[in-house]
Amino acid sequence: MTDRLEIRNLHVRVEEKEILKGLDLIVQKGEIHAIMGPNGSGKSTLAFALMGHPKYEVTEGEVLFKGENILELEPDERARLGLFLAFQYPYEIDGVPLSRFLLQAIKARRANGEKLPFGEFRKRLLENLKKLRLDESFATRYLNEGFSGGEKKRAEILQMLMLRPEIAILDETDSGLDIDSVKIVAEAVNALRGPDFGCLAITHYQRILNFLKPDYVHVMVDGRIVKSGGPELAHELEAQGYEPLLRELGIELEEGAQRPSKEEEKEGVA
Amino acid sequence: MTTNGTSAQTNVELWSRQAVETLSRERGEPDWLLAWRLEHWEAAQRLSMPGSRYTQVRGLSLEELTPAPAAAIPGEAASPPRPEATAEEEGVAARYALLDGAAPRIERSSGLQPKGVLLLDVEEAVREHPELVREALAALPAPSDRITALQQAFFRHGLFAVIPRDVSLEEPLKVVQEVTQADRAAFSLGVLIAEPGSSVTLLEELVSSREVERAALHVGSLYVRVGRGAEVRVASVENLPTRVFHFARRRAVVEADGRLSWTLGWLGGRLVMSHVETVLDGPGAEVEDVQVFFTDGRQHFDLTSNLLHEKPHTRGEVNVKGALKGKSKSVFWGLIRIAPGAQGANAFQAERSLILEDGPRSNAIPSLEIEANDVRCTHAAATSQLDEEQIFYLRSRGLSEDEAQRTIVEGFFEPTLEKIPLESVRERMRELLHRKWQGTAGAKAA
Ligand SMILES: Nc1ncnc2c1ncn2[C@@H]1O[C@H](COP(=O)(O)OP(=O)(O)OP(=O)(O)O)[C@@H](O)[C@H]1O
Ligand SMILES: [Mg+2]
Repeated sequence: MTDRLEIRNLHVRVEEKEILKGLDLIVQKGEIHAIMGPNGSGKSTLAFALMGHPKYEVTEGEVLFKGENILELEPDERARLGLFLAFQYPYEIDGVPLSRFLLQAIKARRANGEKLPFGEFRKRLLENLKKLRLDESFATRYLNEGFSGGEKKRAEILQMLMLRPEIAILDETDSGLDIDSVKIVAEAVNALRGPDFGCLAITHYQRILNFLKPDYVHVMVDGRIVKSGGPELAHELEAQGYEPLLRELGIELEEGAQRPSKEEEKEGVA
Repeated sequence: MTTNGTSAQTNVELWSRQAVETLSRERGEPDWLLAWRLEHWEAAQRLSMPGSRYTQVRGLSLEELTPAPAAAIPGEAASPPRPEATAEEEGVAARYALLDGAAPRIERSSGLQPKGVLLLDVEEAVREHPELVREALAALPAPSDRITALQQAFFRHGLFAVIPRDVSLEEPLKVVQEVTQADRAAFSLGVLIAEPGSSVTLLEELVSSREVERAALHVGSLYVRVGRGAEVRVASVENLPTRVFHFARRRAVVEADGRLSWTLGWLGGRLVMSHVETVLDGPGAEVEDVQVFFTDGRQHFDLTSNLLHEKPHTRGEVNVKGALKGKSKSVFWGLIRIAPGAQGANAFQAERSLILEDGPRSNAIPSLEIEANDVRCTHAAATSQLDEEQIFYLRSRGLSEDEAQRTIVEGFFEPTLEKIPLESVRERMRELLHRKWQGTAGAKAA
């Protein structure tokens, strides 16, 4: 099967420190996977490494997508191949209006001269803004500049909807969103759901999973997937936290890696 | 250098006191003007080259330069190239062109005459309206460096324009100055008087149709008077060849309720030293100064913007933004002076530069002289570098590395470009910045 993202024995180092320590995962198109795990366990590191962030050095393993080892590709080549990352902390780019940027990114992905008529672009943009309950004027603002936390997250999903990736990695897109927005974002993701779309959603909370209804839930601890299961696994974690699972697996957390802070737990309950 | 004994000798004569006398006599100038020129020639002998510990004029030797002559030198173009479109077709009220500081050509659209706008080359203006020229020259500050002093001693041409009281010129006046000759010193001295209640836009371009193979000097000055309640916009784009040394002096006096806007774009030249000074000389006078630059290679830009708030309730805003590549350097000097009694003055000044590689250096030297107590005064300067994380973010959406960088750089300029009051100038600046990016990106790849 080439229509899947296949991660094999992935080891990743950041600033001389090994963060991912042999991670295996297969995301088939048509599936939604959730990854949960304590703070600092390496979830964002996985997302960045998959997207090709230059600071995240792959020391071992491979990542196959569409028959290619994408680790050899530049980040933009990976994007053009159909990979997308919704950032946990999106960057602000001054002076670049969101809509102009979207048009530019769509053009960049259609390197072979295939055209998107402006009228159609505009129509899709308006539809997607509406889907995310964003005002039309939002698209004229500079990319993430002065956006509220929740607006940034929704802008990430807007980009995903416009770029129509085949595999989307959502890094805590639900964190910082109010209750209604979590639902709006989840519904937007669900709208893409189908045989041509796979998703890897990193999250700390059950709430978004209630809407996303993932096919698989994985628990990541200290740079590895330590347990995989169905949606019920997320419920278990939500109810009991990571401790019972860690005890069962005989894992002790290293210094620096922690459980979600009190504040974030509260956010989960809110 | 290429200079041999004889031509060096000739060049010394070309810069002599006698040369000034000859120039003035040949043009039949009044005595006061000859005296004015000689006074500056004397000053030039004592003054030193402009500069500071950030900027030194190197690689330019005045002795090897020839001041622009009265008539075209055989073998050289006799006049600036004539654009294909007429002034009217181009949508300008008038066009004034200079080639290497000589051979002025004015084209006026037919709509100009009935409005009583005075539009002359300064040589003509001296003949026809000597008292107006005399008054304008008297308003220029005494030169503080040799280059400016020599320009005032040796200038021949420049646009002299007077917009009569309450006349609004919808279409801009356009001034195009070309620098095409190596070893040449080209001077221009422009005057724009906007009488009370009038309105005018001046577009300046400093360009070249070709590369200049050795050093050349271009010195341009502009004096603007914005009368009571008048509105003046000056927009200039400098895109001179890489071996040209360019010195620009712009001074404006804005009277009560007058409004002035400077838009200056700096792209070309080897060394650019620009000095902009706005005197807010009546209550309610306002100025907005937007400057944008992009340097690469070994370019060195030294830009000054002085806001002089002389009267109460005056408002000044300066926004300077620049990107640097290669081994280029930029220095920005920003002075805000608020005179005693100028209560309610509001001054804002910001300079930001973006360094795109490891080589460039950028400095900002703000200074404040506040002598009134009820004022608002803000100034800020910052230098930043391209952010790898931002680049990665854009690349993750499919933009190539070059495109991601360009997007960030153009985005860096965008909010400042949006402050440019004239759509056409804004578009031109965008295009030139884009081309400069491509030029440097191409050079890097080579
Ligand atoms: N760019 C970086 N520089 C230095 N250390 C880093 C960098 N990125 C990640 N790390 C370190 O790698 C470890 C894993 O971080 P990562 O961001 O992947 O965790 P996470 O699972 O996404 O956590 P969270 O749930 O808090 O988002 C942490 O110890 C972190 O400090
Ligand atoms: Mg994370």
